[in-house]
Amino acid sequence: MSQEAISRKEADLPDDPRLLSPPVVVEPLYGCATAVVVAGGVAGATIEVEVNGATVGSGVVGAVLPYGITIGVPKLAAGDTVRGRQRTTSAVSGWSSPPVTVRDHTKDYPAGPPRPEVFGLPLYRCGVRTGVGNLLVGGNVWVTADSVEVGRVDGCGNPQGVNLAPSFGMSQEVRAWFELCGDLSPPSIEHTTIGPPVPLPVPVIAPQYAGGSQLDISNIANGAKVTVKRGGVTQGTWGCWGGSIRISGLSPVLASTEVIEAFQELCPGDPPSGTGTITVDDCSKLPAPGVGPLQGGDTAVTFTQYAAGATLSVWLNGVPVGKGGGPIVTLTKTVSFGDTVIVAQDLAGCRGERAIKIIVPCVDAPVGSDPSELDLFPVGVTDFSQGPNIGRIYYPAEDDGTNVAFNKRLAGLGRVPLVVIAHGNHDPAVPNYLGYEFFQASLARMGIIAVSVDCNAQNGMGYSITIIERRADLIIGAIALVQQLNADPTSVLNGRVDFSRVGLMGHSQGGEAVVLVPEVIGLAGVTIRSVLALAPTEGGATKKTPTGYAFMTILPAADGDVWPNDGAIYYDRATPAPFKSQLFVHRTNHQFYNRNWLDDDSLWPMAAPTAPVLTRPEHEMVLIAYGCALYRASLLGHASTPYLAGHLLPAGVSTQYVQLSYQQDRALTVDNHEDGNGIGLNSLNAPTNQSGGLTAGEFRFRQGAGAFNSSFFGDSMGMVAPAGGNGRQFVQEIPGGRDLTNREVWIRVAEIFTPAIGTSAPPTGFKLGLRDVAGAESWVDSDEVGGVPRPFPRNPSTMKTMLKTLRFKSGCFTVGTKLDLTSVDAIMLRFDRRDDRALALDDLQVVPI
Amino acid sequence: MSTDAGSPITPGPPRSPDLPRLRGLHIRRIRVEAPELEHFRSSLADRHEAVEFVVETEAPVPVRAYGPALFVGDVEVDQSERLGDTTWRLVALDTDVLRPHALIRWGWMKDPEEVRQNTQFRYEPENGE
Repeated sequence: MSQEAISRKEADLPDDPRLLSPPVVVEPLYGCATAVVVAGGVAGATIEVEVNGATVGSGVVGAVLPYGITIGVPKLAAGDTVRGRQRTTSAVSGWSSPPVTVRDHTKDYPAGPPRPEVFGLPLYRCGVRTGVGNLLVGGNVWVTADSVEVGRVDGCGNPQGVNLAPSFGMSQEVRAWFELCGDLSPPSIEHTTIGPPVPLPVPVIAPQYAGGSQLDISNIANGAKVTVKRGGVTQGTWGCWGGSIRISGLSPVLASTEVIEAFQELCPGDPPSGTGTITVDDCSKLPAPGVGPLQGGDTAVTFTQYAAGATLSVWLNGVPVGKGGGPIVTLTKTVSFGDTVIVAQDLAGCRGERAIKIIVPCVDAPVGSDPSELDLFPVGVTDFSQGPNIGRIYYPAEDDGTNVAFNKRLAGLGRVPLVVIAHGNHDPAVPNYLGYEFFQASLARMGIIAVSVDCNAQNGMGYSITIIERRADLIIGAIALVQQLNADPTSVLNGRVDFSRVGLMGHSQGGEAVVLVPEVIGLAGVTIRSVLALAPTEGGATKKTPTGYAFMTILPAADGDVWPNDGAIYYDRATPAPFKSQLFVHRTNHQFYNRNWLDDDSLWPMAAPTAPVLTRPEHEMVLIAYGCALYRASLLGHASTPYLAGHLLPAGVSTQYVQLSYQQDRALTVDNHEDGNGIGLNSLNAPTNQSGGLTAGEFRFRQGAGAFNSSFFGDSMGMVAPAGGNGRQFVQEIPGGRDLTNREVWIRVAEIFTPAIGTSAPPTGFKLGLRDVAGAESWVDSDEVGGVPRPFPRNPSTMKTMLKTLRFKSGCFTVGTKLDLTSVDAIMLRFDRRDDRALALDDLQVVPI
Repeated sequence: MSTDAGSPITPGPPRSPDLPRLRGLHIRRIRVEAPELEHFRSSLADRHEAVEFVVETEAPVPVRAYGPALFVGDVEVDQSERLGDTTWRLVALDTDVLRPHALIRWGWMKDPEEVRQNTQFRYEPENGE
């Protein structure tokens, strides 16, 4: 998405004082809730909530917070419909649409509500407030210290601040609890209070501007009391759950050069923190707000950065279409591909003169949630050691701890799926199998048993088919041992494991072993549903063709160990049954995905020189977010494949570095170049044709004979459009014409690495066109769907041409054209860049959405 | 009680995956010994004959995902097994592709040609060093 900073004045944008966007009633809502949360209201607005057509509650927006305000309502029942609107002195919004239908929480959470999460850690003695998240809106939350209730909110928001009386004492064991409809969740993790730091950190006040009436103050200890002064005069003291606090209702509004101070305190008698200070900036310095992804078809704009308490405005093609408090501002009109959207922010006494102009692209996926955040159950841990089979098991439990009982409510619903994890070759003196506990815990929290297998007996031995087979034998041995535990009345896993839903994850040599296991496993009753090969080796131990299960591979682009990114071979050869997924992750290495592997192998000779890699937590987020999306889809039946296909971005992941390839079984393959019928015919056995000087051909995309050049490392047959002028065109005929309504055209593409083209050159691209049976054409540029990435820069001798999947939404082709989407008889490629670079293309498909 | 600010663990300097040089090489034909596995039959069970290269290195070989390999002419011999600190066995399962008198080079499995180390050895079946 291209953005341009502009002057609001020069853009001559009209104001509509009567415009106010409907707020957002936060979903889901469940029966028995006695509160709803509404987001998007502007400062000072009154929010009205209607249930089944009758107004039942209202509230005034004080601090404008991303998660909205909580409004009490009469107890909701499943099937109720809820909507909201906001009102200011000058405007009233429409009602939010569509209404939210209240659900039965036992349908979504049959094993009970999610367990609450206390945040703002650590907890300190004398804390007067704490935060609790992972709640169902409108339920009841309370906090205990040494088993005594010290705070409660009935009809909670999410997250929810809970005031504490008495305040926390020293070394108290604190838990949060939650219930809805009398249905009690598991308690939170138990936290022990500690003495506060001395001195307390100095609060940090975010820049604020003249005309503002709210402040953001961060660096606050959990439970601290924050005092704010203006010009030396105390404005008040607020309890804070830690992290940051937003103070509202400053009156009169802030003035330029005014000095604001803040400090924090915890225990009486202890010294307060140092004082944080800012000088209020002039209104003219109020920056433009920041916005998240925006694409054709969106009905709201998501703001990512804005001043505390700002009112956010949106214009579509020069017309005001949205005004709200953020982070989501709903629009009165749907945006389309090619539209011009402008956004700006205002404070109570300050009109922001800086704006951002966006030309709406065809595809720019929104940020969804974090697929790994599903936190339902406490986590139990148990070890096993029987002959060569050694490992550690994480499982959903009654409470956190070692060998605690399996979660009874989950067990009552049936057996639970299993994921088995295998590490790779590394120093055998290191407990390599304990390097994925963060991932195992995430899986157990959502109701999956996760076993990590100790394969150290094979470590330090080199590489061979024998070693990979022995690793596979250990993995199968671990599954067999879990079968024993499942049959053992004395085991915490007795009767708990569903062996018809098994997933595998392997790293490095373990990644090759988990591709082998489904080929050779003979254990009765075991069905492998999914395999994640993380930076796998490929040395001939397998058929190299993952088949019969969902397959994912993660390829670290700065891998200095498995530097050929061999997992690309498995992806290229895998059958999408029901799907296959590849993540080529820039700026990640081989080792940082295992917490016990400390070296940065991007500094090794086969990778270096390359850009500094991401932090270890960023590596881990890639693994757990996308890995949980894989296992939730394949083992739990959750709708998480949009994260793998690129329709949604997982929150918290450095997705700008993730290049996705994805295929699913439900698709029309126009040309995958694997048919042996030459470049002149496609996979539909229909003709292709070239013009404008194009001399495209089919080549092996792999190392060795038949490759276009030595930069291809997968194993596919694909098409190369070599350089040769900017009028080159390739046409794929579709016999009879097809209805492409509600479809996407997918194609894998990469710029072919050529040493002569420097790494600092801008990206190249192409256009994809559709032609209908009447001859009407419409084209969309690759830059409008995310673009063609540059080859990842690393040691030039190991740089790669790595294809990614681009998705063109068919609806984009109808904007401003006469194209009849119901009868498309050709898909066309136009290589029109003046930079004249060669492109690699593969897997042209039409996919239903 | 003061708060522990933590003690960050600093990784050591990057472990170089540089291979030590070859000090000795012994070649012989062997019968393939398929691994005895508990849960499935090895794919090597149907193999009969192989060529074994036992190499001595000047220092221990670092541990990484891929093992060391010999390159007999253009043929990569990459089935490796550590026998001792500086003793490794490499096995060529496809014996027919090994050309007598071919120059032997030394490197990591999958190393591109330009980074392989030259050695003084040639492939002389059954003749040892």
